[in-house]
Order: sequence, then structure tokens, then C-alpha cells
Amino acid sequence: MELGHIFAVLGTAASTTGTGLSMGQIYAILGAAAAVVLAGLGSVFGVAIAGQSAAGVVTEDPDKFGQVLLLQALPGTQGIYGLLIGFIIMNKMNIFGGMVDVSTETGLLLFVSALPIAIVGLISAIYQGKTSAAAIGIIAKRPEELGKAITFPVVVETYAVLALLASFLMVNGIPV
Amino acid sequence: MMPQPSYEYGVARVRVLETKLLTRERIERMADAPSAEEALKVLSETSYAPLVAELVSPYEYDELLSKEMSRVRTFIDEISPDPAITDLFFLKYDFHNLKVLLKYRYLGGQDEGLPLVQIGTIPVEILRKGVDDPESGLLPPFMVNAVRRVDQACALKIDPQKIDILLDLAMYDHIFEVCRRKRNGFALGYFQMQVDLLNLRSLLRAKRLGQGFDFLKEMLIPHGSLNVSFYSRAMEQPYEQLIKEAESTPYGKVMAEAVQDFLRTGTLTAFERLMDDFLLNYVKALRYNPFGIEAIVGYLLAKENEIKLIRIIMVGKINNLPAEKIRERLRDVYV
Repeated sequence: MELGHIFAVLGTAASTTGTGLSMGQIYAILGAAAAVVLAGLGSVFGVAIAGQSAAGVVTEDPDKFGQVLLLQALPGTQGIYGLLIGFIIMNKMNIFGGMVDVSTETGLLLFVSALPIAIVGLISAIYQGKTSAAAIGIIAKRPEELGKAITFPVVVETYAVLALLASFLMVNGIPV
Repeated sequence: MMPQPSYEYGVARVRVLETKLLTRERIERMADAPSAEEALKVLSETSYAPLVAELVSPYEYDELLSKEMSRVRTFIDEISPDPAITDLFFLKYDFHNLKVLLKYRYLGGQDEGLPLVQIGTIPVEILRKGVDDPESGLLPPFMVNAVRRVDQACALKIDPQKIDILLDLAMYDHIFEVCRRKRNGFALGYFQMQVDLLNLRSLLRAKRLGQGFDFLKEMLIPHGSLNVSFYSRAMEQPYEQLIKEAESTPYGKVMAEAVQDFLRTGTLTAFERLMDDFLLNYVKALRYNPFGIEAIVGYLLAKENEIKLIRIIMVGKINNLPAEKIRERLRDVYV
């Protein structure tokens, strides 16, 4: 079934239940949810991958806890970026104060604006987790090379930041 | 069943332990030590310290080394995300035990002090019972079949070499079956090279004995990458031609060096060293994969190599071999 069709059905269902939600509002909230959920899931996978490596190192050498924790936390940023974009959209929709009505076009625009951080966040966090796991291997052997080890996962971070920037500019540029 | 640890976890633990492997410098200091006691003192500065402290005399070094090897065995069991694959690397110990037990059955000898090793995939006591009573279900089917095949062959003629060959064939049949089923390209590559090198060693042995291809054919282990015609041609060719033919295989360098040494000394010591090096280098090149079994197997092989080196040093020290002689033998093993 076509996605738009599902939303349309949802929209009608919502309006018939008397909550009075417009299609525009549903699209906008869906965008906020996608940013938080997808980028957040990416971070869950990412920190879990790196976390298993970190646990392996700490089992043998508990003194390296601080260094490996730093590397484990790196794929966690995508989830924060997703929440940030989600929050801006919620704020724009004034969700905490009764919710403004927007046209279907505006709602769709807000939804699309959330996609860069949602999709890039999901995938980059998983791959950053793998890179972090490999970098934790460097710390296991050469704890003095933290600076170099951290560089590799940070390179992956670049693209999550670019996606965040794109989402941020787009959401900001849409008049509500 | 306990959940298996992940590759990330296992590899990270191995990475830390890799830093505790003996360095070349320490091995050399051990070799240069004036006595066995002094050599052990060098060892007590390393992760071997608690084991060295338990030793009553340096003559018991063998006990120390087998304790370390069982520690490695337990460790690999604990961290291996895929025990079916890591067990393959311990199968040689089970089959060593099987050879010892079956030769004892058919050739006799003293029951006391059979050279059985404890680090196989099956505990020695169970293996013993399983060999005595194949119907007991204590042994996996591929081992039971192997024992049966040996029994059948020995009913006709008792030949210790035949026992070795039959068991080797059964072991590699099982290894390749598991590698294929698990689709593990790394392990498959490793064992394929091992089989090729063992076959090449059999080839050199057969040539030295002046035997024909029929003799060699009995000993060749299937599953290798070199085809049978390579071996049949090699049996007819002079050594120079054999070296040339080997150039088109991955073993060109090994064969060139090994055959020269073999012709000079008449022994296969250099071949065995080159074979170990070749396999270690294969694993070494792949061990940086943080999400695979490579690093874990690499650690196991490095540990086996390290224990081999310590044994050479201790035997040398106890027999008062001069340091240069020991170093000479170490160079043969150390990578």
C-alpha cells in the first residue's frame, strides 16, 4: 500500500475521532518521530558494537576504562542530533502549547527535512560503531595513541554532522 | 546453552593479550641466560610469573608449558564466538591422542605414561572409553568412523604408518566439512594451505625414499589446492624442475628454500620451519579484522609458537647447550 494512502486513512481516522488533526500536522510529527527513532536506533547499534569491544579490553585491562569509554560514546551523538531535529520540529509545531495547524505541503516539507539526519544518522552510527570497535583495538595495544585512534571514528562523524546541518537548515527555512 | 560472546568482545580481549606475548628480545635473553634457572628468571618477568613461582625445579618446565597451554585452551573456549571453527584448531590434539591409543592397542607397549595431551576437544578419559567402546556414543560419529576404519585396516595388516594416514584423512575430511558448512573462508584457506604443505612434505619424503607415485598416492590428503597430476609429475622430475614447477603455486619460495636445505642436510627441519612460518604469516596478515575469527586463531597459533620456543630453550639449557647453538635452533622457529 502506498505510504500516502496510509497517512490519509490515519488522517481521516483522526479527524473522525474528533481530535481534529490535519494531514499537515501528521506529516510534521512523523518527521520529528523519524529523526528521533532512526538516528536513535543507529546510535543504539553503534554504541553496542563499540561497547562489546570496550568490554573485551576492560576484561583484560581495567585501567583502560576511560579511553575505551570515550570511543564507545562516539556513535552516541547521532541519537542526540536526531533528537535535536525532532525537538525543533516539535517546537515549530508548538506541540507543547496546543499545536499550530499547517498545510499538507508544509507538513510534508517538515517530514522531508527530517530525512537527512534520520537516514544518515542511522547508517553512520552503525558504521561509526564498527570503526570505534577497530579503534578500541588500537587502544588495547597502544594506549598512548588515543589521539590517532579517535580520529578514525571522528571521520565518520563528519557526515552525521553534515546531515544534521542540512536537516537543521531545511527545518529552519520552512515558514510555519 | 550460554550465549556466545561476540567477535568484537573476543577480538578486543585478544588484542590486550597480544601485548603480553613474549617479545623477540625476551626470547633472546632467555637463550643467552647462563643456566636453566636464569632462563626461568627471565620468564618470571612476564605473564608466566605465577606459573614459574609454582615450579619446584627447572626440570619441570614441561608441566609449566602444558599448564599455560590449557590456560590458552580455556581462554579460547571462553571467548570464541564460533567454537565449531576454533575447535578445528585443537582437533590435531584429539587425533594425536587417537593415534597414541590405537597404536597402543595394535602395537602394544606400556599403558602407563602414554603421551596423551589434555588440550583436545574431548577429555582424554572420555576419548579412551570411546575408543575402547565405539558404540558408547561418547565420541562424535566422524571419530567413531575413523576408529572403525583403522580397525578394519589393522585386521588385515598392522602398519603404524597406515594408522597415521587413516586418522589424518579422517581429521581433514571433518575439518573441510565443517569449514564448508560454516562457509568460513579464512579457516578453509588455512587448512587448504596446511594440507598442501603436508602433501609437499610427503612428496619430498617419498622422493628421498626413492619410491614411486603409488607410494605417495596413499599418503596424499585430498582437499588441497594442488592437483594430483602435480604430484605425479613431481615424482618423475629432478628437484630443479620441481622447484620451477612450484613457482606457479603459492609455495614457490617455501619449496625453493626447503628443497635446497633438504638436499644439503637430508632432513626436513627447514621445511617444517618454513611451513609454520608460511601458515603464521597467512594468519598474521588477516588478524586485523575486528569482526572475525582471525585474531583469535592468530593468538592461539602465536601462543603455540611461543611455547615451542620456550621448550627449545629449556631443553637446550638443561642439556647445557651453548647459547649460540640454541639461538641457531631458535632462528629456525622464530618468525
